Amino acid sequence: MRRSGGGALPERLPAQRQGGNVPHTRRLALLAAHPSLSKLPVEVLAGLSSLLREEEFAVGTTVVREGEQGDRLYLIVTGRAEVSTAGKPTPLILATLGSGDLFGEIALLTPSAQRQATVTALTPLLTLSLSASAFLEVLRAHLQARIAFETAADALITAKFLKQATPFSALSPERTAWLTSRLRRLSVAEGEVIVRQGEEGDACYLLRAGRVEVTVREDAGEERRLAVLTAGMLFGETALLTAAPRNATVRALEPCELLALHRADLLEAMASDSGVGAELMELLRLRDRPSRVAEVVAEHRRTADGSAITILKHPGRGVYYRLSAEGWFIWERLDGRRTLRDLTMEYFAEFQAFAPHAIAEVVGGLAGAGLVEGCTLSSEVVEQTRRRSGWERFLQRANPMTWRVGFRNADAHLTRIYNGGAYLLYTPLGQILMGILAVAGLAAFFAGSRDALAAQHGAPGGVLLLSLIPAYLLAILVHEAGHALTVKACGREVLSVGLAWYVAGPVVFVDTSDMWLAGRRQRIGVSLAGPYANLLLGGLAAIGACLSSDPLVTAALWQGALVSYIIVLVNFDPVLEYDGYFVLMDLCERPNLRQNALAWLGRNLIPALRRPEVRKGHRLELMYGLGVLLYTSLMCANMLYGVRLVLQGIITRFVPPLTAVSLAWALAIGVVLLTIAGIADELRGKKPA
Amino acid sequence: MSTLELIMDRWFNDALFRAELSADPEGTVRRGGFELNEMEWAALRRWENGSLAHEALQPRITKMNRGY
Repeated sequence: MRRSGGGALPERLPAQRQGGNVPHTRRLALLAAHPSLSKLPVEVLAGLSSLLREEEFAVGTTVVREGEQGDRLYLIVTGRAEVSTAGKPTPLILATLGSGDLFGEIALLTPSAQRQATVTALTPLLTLSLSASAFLEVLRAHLQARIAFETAADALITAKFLKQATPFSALSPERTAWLTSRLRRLSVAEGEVIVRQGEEGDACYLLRAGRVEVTVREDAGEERRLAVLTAGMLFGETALLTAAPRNATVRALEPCELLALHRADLLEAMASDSGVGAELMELLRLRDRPSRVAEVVAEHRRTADGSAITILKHPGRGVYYRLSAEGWFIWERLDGRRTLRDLTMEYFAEFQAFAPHAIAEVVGGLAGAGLVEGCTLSSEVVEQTRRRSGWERFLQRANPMTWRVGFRNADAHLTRIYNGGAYLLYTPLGQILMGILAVAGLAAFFAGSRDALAAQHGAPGGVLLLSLIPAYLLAILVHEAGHALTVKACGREVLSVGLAWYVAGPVVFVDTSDMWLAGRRQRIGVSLAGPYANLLLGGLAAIGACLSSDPLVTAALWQGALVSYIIVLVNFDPVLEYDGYFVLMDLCERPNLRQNALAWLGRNLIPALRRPEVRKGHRLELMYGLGVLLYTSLMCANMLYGVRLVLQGIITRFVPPLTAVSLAWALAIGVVLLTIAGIADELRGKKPA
Repeated sequence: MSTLELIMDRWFNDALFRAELSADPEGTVRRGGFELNEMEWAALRRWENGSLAHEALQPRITKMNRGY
């Protein structure tokens, strides 16, 4: 008995054992059933059967190891084994074998006699092994068997190639075997054109050995080299994914071995594994020649620390994008002629930095925002890439922030209102008067609070409660008008005004995104204008309450002032992305603060708590992110306890108590789960829907 | 064709190489047997990992952003 190397073994079972328990008829049946041996005469099979040696392997035993010399092949009688090849960071699984499968024969067919893969026992394995000399003797005498074995060996080597160095490495062993059967082997001579620019394409090619050059003929007629590809690389896929003519010529620089794949099979491979689809899309993106969208406008300015930045605006889409000076350098060169490779070389010449990944990320970001156009995918590929999970679709629909109705031509009306007289509010005199009103109003509010509260006690409660509704609606309208008119005072555009559902009720909203083009002071001014308008409204109401002699009017106006002042305070909450959030973001010159802070926290929370150097330069992200998490936790606790009880009290009026309790719990838990899912998305760096 | 261009061709066409170069630029280039001149080594040491400070700006919609 001998032992072979392998993994950890159960103590009671040796790694390997030889014996003679498999009867001759069973051996013969196994040999005759194998596709590569089935055509051999019965007497040859009988001869082989007598030469077979039984070997048993325990679970986890390595039967053959990749790279080692091979001197036997194995036929599995019972049990299962896994075929794998070296990969990073873990071995790549090529196939799973069972009863009747053969392995170890490839090493015997190649001059180097090296094992091409590792075979490990997944279960107790009973095999019949045959020596190299006996096997080769049979092949010498029977050409048909030799061809069958060589074909099977080629399939395994191709599968190994697919797993190790191509965009198809994500495929499962079964799909790899399928893809292997769909590939057509080709050999091309040095100088031969494999793909020609302008022609229709129906296949793409995997370079198995050799080198090819990719060239493009420019409008002027001169030919420009785009890349040199080596073994393991794919080409010709763009025409298949975009249904456009070939966009480049590919020529062999030396004798090459190719594997050709038809379009239908490529699409099927993409559909069967999202990893393959993603990798091919990435390849397409990296090889693209993107161009700027014509209507995008750019404004340059400097940040508080003196850095030059550019804000891009797509007027039709209402999209804004911030670029550094280096980003602007790239943007200027997106002309539809340059590839990302060209951009990387130009960037290197300008900044002496090698940054293909950073450039690809900038171009990807611009394309994602619709500011850059690239190749157009074919309808089938678009359909495949559009598929989203049911959970993602549910979250998208369940997000109450997505329900809104906007009036896009509001800017013209606001411009008329501003030019018709509202501009006076933004003159120095207007500002002084409003300042006086705000201060006087606050003084009147506090001075008259005792009288107002006394009047409230005497007033009918229902009337006061009803007066809260117009007070709230007016406060919201004035607040949003403050934002909108200040945008006009800054000479910018109000993209949209409308109604929306926010958390628990309807709100008026104003899209002031055009302020991204303005300087920091103007942006802060627009954000403060809303609460300031409420301060003025509250002041007016408070002064009115003081001047009124009717107790009911006094009580209602003072209550209206209180509503306005509460809205001022609520809007300075920086966690809820109200006005205070925008002020904080602009003060710190940190656009997308919440999104970036939570994404940073999601990546770095544990290291940041342990190591000071991780926190360095990210204090704001850490503090803001932790603040959001703490605030959210408190809100969730409040939802599960306080809000749930209030809900329960309301629902109890309409349904039996037990049902009310269940419904209140279900609602509270549902809201909390949605909240946690949203925060988890932000921590994972997924942008808000 | 410069060595940097060879590295780039590999980078654009090989996902594994992209990941390795991102994690360890110098080590990956040395292991790959690429020979760079002084200027190219300096450029590689200035490997900029997505630091070109660019981003789509969130809409400034008053009263309408995500909040919890």
